[in-house]
This record gives sequence, C-alpha cells and structure tokens, in this order.
Amino acid sequence: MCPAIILLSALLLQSPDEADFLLTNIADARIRTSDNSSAQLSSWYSRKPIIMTLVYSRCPGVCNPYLLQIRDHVLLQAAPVERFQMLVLSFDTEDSPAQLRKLAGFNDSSPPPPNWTFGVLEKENSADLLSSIGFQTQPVNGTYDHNTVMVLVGQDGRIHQWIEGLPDNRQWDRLFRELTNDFVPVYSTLNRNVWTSCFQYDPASGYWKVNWGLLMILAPSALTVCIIMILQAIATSGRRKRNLLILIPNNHEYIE
Amino acid sequence: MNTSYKKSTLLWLITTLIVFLVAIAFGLTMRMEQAEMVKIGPLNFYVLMTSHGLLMAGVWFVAGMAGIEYILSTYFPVPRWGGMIAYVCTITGVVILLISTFLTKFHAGWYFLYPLPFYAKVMESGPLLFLVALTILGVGWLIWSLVLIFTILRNFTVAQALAWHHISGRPGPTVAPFILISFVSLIGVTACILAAVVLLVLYYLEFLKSGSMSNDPLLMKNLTFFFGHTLVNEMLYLGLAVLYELFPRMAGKPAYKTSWYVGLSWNATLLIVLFAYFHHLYMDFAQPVAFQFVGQIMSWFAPLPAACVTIFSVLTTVYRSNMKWSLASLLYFFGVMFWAIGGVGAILDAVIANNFVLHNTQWVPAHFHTYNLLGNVFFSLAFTSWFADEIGNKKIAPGLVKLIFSLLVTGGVGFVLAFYLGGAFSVPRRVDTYNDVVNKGVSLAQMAVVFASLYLVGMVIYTFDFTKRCARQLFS
Ligand code: HEM
Ligand SMILES: [Cu+2]
Repeated sequence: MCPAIILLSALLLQSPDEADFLLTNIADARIRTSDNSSAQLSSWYSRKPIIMTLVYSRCPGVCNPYLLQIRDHVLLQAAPVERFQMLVLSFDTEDSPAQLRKLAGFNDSSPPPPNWTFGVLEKENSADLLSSIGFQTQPVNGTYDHNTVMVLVGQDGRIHQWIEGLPDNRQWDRLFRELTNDFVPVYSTLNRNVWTSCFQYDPASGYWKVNWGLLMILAPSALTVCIIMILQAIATSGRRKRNLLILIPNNHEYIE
Repeated sequence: MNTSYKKSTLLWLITTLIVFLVAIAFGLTMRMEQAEMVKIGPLNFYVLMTSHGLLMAGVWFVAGMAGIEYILSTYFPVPRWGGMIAYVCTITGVVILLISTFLTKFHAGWYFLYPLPFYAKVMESGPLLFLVALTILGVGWLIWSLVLIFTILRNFTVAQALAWHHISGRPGPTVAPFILISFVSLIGVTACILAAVVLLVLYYLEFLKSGSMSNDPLLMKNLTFFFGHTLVNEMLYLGLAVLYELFPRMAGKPAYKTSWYVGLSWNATLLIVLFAYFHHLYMDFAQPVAFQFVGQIMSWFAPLPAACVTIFSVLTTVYRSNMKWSLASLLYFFGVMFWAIGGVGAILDAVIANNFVLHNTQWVPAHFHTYNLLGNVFFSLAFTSWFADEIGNKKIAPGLVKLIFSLLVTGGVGFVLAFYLGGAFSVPRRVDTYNDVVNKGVSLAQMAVVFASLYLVGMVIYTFDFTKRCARQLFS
C-alpha cells in the first residue's frame, strides 16, 4: 500500500498551472552565446533534452540566489552530463554570457561543467519565447519585475516539465527521473476542465475534492435501485387490481 | 409447459452453440499465431482477440439468461417479447460488431479500455460501428433483464424475492433458491448494463464532439470494469441459479430450500459483487487508496459466500444420492469444481502484492478461462444437455457422453494449464509473437493448440448431436 500512498502524495505536489504548458511547443528563439556567435534554441534541444531557466545579471532581487540554488542542486544531483544540456538565459539584451557565468558563481578556477551554456536572448523573438514558457517581465525603474521559471524541454521541442519558483525536493526528483528515463508516477491532466473528472485539485487548500465524475460511478447502482423500486410499485398496483378481481365475486356472494 | 417457451429457448441454445464454435476457432487461430504455426500478423491477431473476447462474453451471457427465462417460465408466465427483442438485438449487434472488427479492423480488445478505441482503428468508422453494436446489445439485454425482474416482482415483493423473511425466520411465501439467485443476478446485470450505458454516452460525446471534449480516463476505466467485470461475474451466477434448480432433481433429491445461510450469502453477494471490480485498478495510483482496500477486501469476499454455499450444497447432494450420472450432472459437478479452482487463481491475482508480479501475464487469461471454459460454459452446457433430454426425441448415446466429456475436460484442462505455466514464466498476455526473453510462450502455445483442438472436437460432436436430436422441434 505504501507505494500507492507515496504516489498519491506525489500528485499533490504538482503545481496545477503546469498543465497550461505541458507538451506545448517552445518558441525557437535565437540566442547569443558570445560576442560573435549565436544559435537557435533548437540546436540544443534537438540533440538532448534541456533544462532551461531565465535570469538577468543586473537583478537586484531573486536572480542571483535563485541561480545559485539551481546550480547547487543540478551539480549535486550528478545527473549524467551527456543526458541533458543546461541553459541559463538572460532576457535582458544588455547582458553578456560572461556576466551570467559570474552570476552563477563560476569563474576560471571553477568553470561550469561542459553541458552548461550561458546565453542572451536576441531581441527578435524573445517575446515569443517568454510567452511560450509563461515567463512574465515588467520594466520598473530600469530594472525588471519577473517570475522565475524552469522548464525541461524534450528533443521534440515540447515542454515536459514546468516549474515556477524554486523547485522543492520532490520537483527536483521528478525532473531528474524524467532525464534518466525513470518512471515518473503521474502528471497533471492535460485538460484541467474535464467536467467528468473524478477529482479536482484545489490549489488554495492543497486538497483533493470529489468531482462529478466520482458520482457517475455511483449512478448505475443508484439508478438500478430506483428502477427496481418503480417496477415494484407497478407490480404491486397490478397485483392489487388482480386481488380486487378475485374479491369481487366474494362480495357479490355476500351481498346476495 | 408452453411449447413456444421451448422453441425460443431452443433457438437461443442453437445460436449459442454455433457462435461458440466460431469463437473457439478465433481463439485457436490466435494460439496458433503465438505458436508460430500460422502467420496472420499483429493487426489480425487483435481483430480476432477483440471478436473472440466479446463473442464469448456475450454468448455465455445470453445462454445464462435463456436458462433463467426457461426455468422462470416453469414458475410463472413470462412475457415473451423481452426475450424476442433481446434475440433480434443480439443478432443485429453481433453482425455489426463483426463488421466493425473484421471489415473496419477495429481492435481495441474486448473491454476497449479508454482511450484505445480512438487509436486502435484502421478506418474512421470502426469505433463508431463498434459503439453502435454495443449500444444495440446493451439495449436489448437491458430490456430482457428488466422484463425478467418484473416477472419476479409481479409475484413477490423485493423483500420477499431477496428472501429476507427466510433469513429472519418470519412467515412469508416460499422463495426457491432459483428465484433468489436469479433476482440477485438480474439486479447486478441491470446495474452493469447501466454502467455500460453511461460509458457509451461518454464515448459518443467525445466521438461526436471530436476534439472539443475529452473524458477523464480514471472515470472511464472505473465504468469499463464496473461493466466488464461485473457482467462476467453475474453471468456465472445466472448459470448457478439454474444449477440450484436442476442439480437436486438430477440426483433424485428434494429441491433445495432457501435456508437462512443461502439467503444471507446471496444477499451479501448482491452487494459485494458491485465493488469487486476495483481490483482492476490496482495499478492506477490516482485511484484513492481507500478504493484499493475496498477492492482487495471485496475481491476476497465476492466469491466466498456463493462458492462456499454452492460447493457445500453440491457435495451434500451427491453424497449418498442415487445420482444417475448424465452428461448434464457431470458437467454441473465438474463445473463447480473447476469454478473453485479458477476462483483460487483469481483471488491469488487479486492480492495486491501478487498483482505486481502477475499483472498482464498469461496468468490472467489462465484464471478467467478456467472458470469460463470449464465453469460457466459447463453450467450452460449442463442446462443445454438437460434441456435436450427434456425435449429431444432421443436420449444421448452413453458412448457419446463419455467421449464428449473426456474431450472437453482433457482439452480444457490442458489448454488452461498452458496459460498458467505461461503466467508462471512471465509470458505476457495479449501479444501475438514472443521474443527470446519469453520464448517459452511459443512451446506453451503449441501445447495449447493441441488441447484446444481436442476441446473444439468435443464441442463439434456435442453441437452436431444436439442439433440432430432437437432441431426438428424448432419447426414442429
Ligand atoms: C477452447 C476455447 C478457447 C480458446 C482456444 C481461447 C483462446 C484465447 C486466446 C488465445 C486468447 C488471447 C490470450 C492472450 O492474451 O494472449 C483469449 C483471450 C480471451 N478469451 Fe478465450 N479462448 C477460449 C475460450 C474462451 C471462453 C469460453 C471465454 C469466455 C466465456 C473466453 C474469453 C476470452 C476473453 C474475454 C479474452 C480476452 C480478450 C482480450 O484480452 O481482449 N475464451 N482466448
Ligand atoms: Cu475482474
């Protein structure tokens, strides 16, 4: 039973918003990786799955601690280097790849692993990319307000996992299971508004709620009981009529 | 006894026997493909598998219903139109079904688990034809079932038909075990057909609104097994109801009485059967854990009351009786024993820990073929044989009894044994060829082909003899 409980609880951990992005295509943006070289996003994910996140180096807020945490986790997990490509991108055109590298805490004496790449989004289709992964930015006094998003993009160019904010341990676990082709128990349903679903996840409370679908499992039995009751009622009234017919001759005799 | 009841029952039985032969031939061909004796390819294999499973489930269901209707008509007048509608619907449904599988190559397996019907097709019209076929069958059978329930309710109240007064010891009309078991089974049949109705409606919605609506797979799976598991379960009980009526007669003993424990066990069965299907969802972690516990417990208890009481009754009936062993009584007696064996196989598989190992191996077809091929089919054939002796102009030759019975038992046991061994060696079910890892499957399939052929020969002889003795009655 125990595994079932674990699996069930794993369900609760998925952010419901992930459903909006799962298996949708990521925009194939152009990325500058140094002063004189750039490449399409697809040139990475077509070779192996990518873990991609977005930051900008002038950020006075979350970017630096966020990126350091991500880095520590990815390095700690020791997932095989040839299994995935790590992409740290900046959405700020004034950024440079070198600055991003520094932001992630790497330098010449401790260089990033070979499967890490830093890059800056080119202006042209950066907006497409941002909206395709649900990344929101807003300029505020020369800096940006933004959320943090990390995505796992498969070789088909589609989003396989989508995590907003700092991933917790279970989300990390799920991410690396996917990369090593381990069994991932369950994903949020792709169609969140299925009225016939058996359960509904309530993000506010974090609990499951019974939905109409579950009632539909009871419907056949309930309907059967109703039908039997109706048939019984019809049969009883029929029987009463028959009994009456038998009684009438008796009454007749009595009257005579 | 009105001869028109005899005629319609005869029509059902002949139809059943013929369809059974066809369905065995499908099964044999599948086994030959697995044995690498013929080469039909995966698509045709799944076409055969879908047709075989549905024909078998359907044909033994209607055979059970025909038995119930006949015996019930010896108690009370039964409106005939229920059975007639069911017959027309059955023939129409089966024809459309076979068109959908053989012509449009629909091949989603007998319980067409969602969303497979939307993929396991070659032509667009396949799934729709298939759904239409099932709808026609469902409507016909629902009407039939309700007509039979109504017949019982015209003579007893619900409480009486469920033998509550026999359980509590209060006075009331005598309710024979046959009435009680038929009533319990028919209620179950109605519930599972209604589950199929809900299921089909959801399928139609998704099919017709192509793309704009999709169903919840968990709900669909629940409904599928509510329907499939329960139907197969109840059709066995239909056969048992008739057994309770006929077996004591064959042994020259007084008719069974509805004692308090018979009453209690079948009332328990009525409820438990409806929850046992949860064992088909052990691998669905999204199913609430509580359901899994319920499934485990109910699966253990579902067969217990009925099986214990039946085995006990059958053994005490045979003990010190002056039973004249006919084909009918032999089939009943051994049918009950094989049912018990298959039941043990089923319960082993329904233990969650074992299911992790046995899930989707040939253990699954092993256990359900045991209590179908050697249990349920034997019950219905026993009724058929009894019926033939009642109406036929000649009794069956004693030599034929021995021949047919030994062919069916040897063939059947050898055939299911090959499946059990396959399960033990982890040979997967539902594949048409085996790779090197499970190449034992090939030699086991060869063994199965030999034994299944024996069974088929036995059935051909049986059908031939039955038709020869009885067919004339149909036109008299
Ligand atoms: C001698 C007679 C029979 C033969 C040769 C036979 C053969 C087979 C074979 C080869 C399979 C496929 C097994 C696999 O998964 O690898 C199968 C499946 C099945 N059989 Fe039979 N069978 C026979 C009798 C019966 C009877 C009497 C019933 C039911 C009353 C039945 C119901 C089924 C069902 C429901 C399936 C599953 C189909 C599916 O997986 O969709 N069979 N049978
Ligand atoms: Cu089952």
